[in-house]
Amino acid sequence: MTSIPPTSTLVPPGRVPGLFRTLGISGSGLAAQQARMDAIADNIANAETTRTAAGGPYRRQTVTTAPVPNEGGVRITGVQSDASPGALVYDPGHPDADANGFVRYPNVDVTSETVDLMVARRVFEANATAFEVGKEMLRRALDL
Amino acid sequence: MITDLFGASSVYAALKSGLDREAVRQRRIAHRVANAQSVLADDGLAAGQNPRAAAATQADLQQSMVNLADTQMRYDATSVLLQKAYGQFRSALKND
Repeated sequence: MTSIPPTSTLVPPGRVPGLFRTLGISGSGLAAQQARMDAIADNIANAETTRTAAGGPYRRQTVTTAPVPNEGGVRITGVQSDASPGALVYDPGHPDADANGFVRYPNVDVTSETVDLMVARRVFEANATAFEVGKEMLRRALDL
Repeated sequence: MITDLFGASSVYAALKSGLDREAVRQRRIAHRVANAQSVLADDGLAAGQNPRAAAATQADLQQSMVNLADTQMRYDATSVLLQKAYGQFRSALKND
């Protein structure tokens, strides 16, 4: 399972110098979306994992983010496990089947994960564009 | 005398404040884009779970990208004007 850092480590917004703060803001957005895509990839990879080290089937992971109040940007506040139960499938031959022959599958809906992945990708691209615009504006300022 | 040329009421000061204003605007847009999904998380909703919320994110993103393009154009235009203003001042200094 991929381990996602609790806070954004790519570009800490608080440590970015004033002139380049705008790049730090977009960088934090890129890091947040990257973490989101990592979690989604993890969910899809484990969509049929019925046994984990913690016991029971794999649980869907979601990344939560919050705005950085003064510096601007976004920070990853945590990775939450979705507690909702997964589908119960009758499969008596499965090694993880219970006494009645039912297997509890992960609560991962691959279609929803794919849609989430598309949204995360679009937001990542938007952040990359904002980064590019900020960089171009800085270059313009240096040309004066 | 020379300082008056670059005073608060000069064209240079106006253009410089225009550049600063657009830079701040760009920073705000970048912040909004970076937090495009944070708002959903604050509401206790994850993207993809609520189609209306996801659509709102998309709409907000589109508007932010339009504003971003607008800001960049304004910044570029203002910087070109400032460059020209400095260029004219340099020419005036050369022509004694």
